[in-house]
Amino acid sequence: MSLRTALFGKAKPVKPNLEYLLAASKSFDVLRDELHLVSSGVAGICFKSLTTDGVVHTDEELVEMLKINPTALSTDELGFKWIVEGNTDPEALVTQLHNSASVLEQNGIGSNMLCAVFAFKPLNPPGQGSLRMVYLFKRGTYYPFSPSGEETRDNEFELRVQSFLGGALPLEQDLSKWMPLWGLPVN
Amino acid sequence: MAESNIRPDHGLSVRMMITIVGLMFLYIIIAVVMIQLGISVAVTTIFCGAMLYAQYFFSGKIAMFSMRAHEVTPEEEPELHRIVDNLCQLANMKKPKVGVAEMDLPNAFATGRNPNNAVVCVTRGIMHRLSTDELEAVLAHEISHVAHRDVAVMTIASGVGMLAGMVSRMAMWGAMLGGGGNSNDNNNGGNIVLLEIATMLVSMVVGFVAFLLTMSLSRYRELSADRAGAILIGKPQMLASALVRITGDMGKIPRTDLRKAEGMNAFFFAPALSGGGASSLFATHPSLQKRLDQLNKIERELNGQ
Repeated sequence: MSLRTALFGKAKPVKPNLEYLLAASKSFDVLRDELHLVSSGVAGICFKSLTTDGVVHTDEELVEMLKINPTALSTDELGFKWIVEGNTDPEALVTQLHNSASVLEQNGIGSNMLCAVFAFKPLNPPGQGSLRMVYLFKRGTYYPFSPSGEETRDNEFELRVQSFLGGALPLEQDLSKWMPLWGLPVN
Repeated sequence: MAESNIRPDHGLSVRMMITIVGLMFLYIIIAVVMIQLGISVAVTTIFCGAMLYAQYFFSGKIAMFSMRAHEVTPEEEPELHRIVDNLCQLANMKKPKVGVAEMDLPNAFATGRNPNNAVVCVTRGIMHRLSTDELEAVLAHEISHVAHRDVAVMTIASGVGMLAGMVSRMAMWGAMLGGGGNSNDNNNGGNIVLLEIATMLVSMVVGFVAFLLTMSLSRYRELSADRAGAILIGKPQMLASALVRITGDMGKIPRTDLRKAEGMNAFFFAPALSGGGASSLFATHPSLQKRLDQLNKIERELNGQ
């Protein structure tokens, strides 16, 4: 935090970091080989439809802007928008999500983009693990989130995931930033 | 130690030697200073020896007393004893006494001057918070402390710091009382005061250096115990999980929804810089992140990567 920011309390909106979003595909091999988890074919972006200029985009505008099926856009009970995309090819899914993120950024929503989420499922069902890899746009880091119930998470499994993914992805080092997303629509 | 299955840590041995030599050196300086102050050699030696011995001999009782811990029998705590029995069998070492401290703070410690007098102790709080597997991992860490004879080494190490503190205080009193000056020879009296002030400064520096050395040795020994404990039971992630659960309230991994946190803190703006720095120099335990990183490394090694 700069002196000016501290003195006048004028923080600037942070630009989203899209650089490492494509790196998500690097985790696929590790997750499959070590933890027997594969992409569930679903990924999403969580954001607020508010531009830095104060324009609030309507759902119609967002659908138009992103060129997506209207059903892919939803609003959760906390007022956040979700774009949920599906693709059976995990690599293509990552590219698809990156494209959407770029479009949002170009339309001034960049500083209101919260996170991207990739969902994983066990390779051999039932198997262990419900896993979401959460990408924080502001920090450019990933962290594992393993919901195990309505508002419970499996910390042990998350730490296990962390131990394997360290080399593949920029992981969030500050564990207090590993915030859950209860009831998220990316499954 | 050689015959137990707890892996000897060569890095640890080297560091132990360096620290002990360094501390011996400091000890000698203190003794010289005491003698310079006019205290006889015999008194100085007896004093230093007695201090160390008392600290060494009563370390276990002092620790147990200060934690309000008591020894428990297998009938009182069958689960705890079963875990310790298993671990001692795995490690091929003599079973230490088992203690419980009636406090909610999640913590565990090992004490006692040698493996024959060792006590491993857990608090009620840690027993409530951890699963059996996690508790086992924590006890494996404590048992490694016993195998590494950490209590004896740390007692000796911290003894020097204490002694330096006492000498500096004595010198300070000396300087204050001597400052009045009842001597006719002003020049000589001034020298003694100067000498005592110098003594005070030197022992303060000695005390501070000893303190830093002790802290850094302590952090290193914690990492060694983590490593040995994790390898002993072959489940580093259990210790990692236990550490995360007990370090900080229910661990650092939060339960607050990301979207709610966004609303509360001005999350949309740049995060404030988080600083490490001086605090880790003075800490007796390494940071959680350092310990988790090491356990992650062991996890990968055990998985043959």
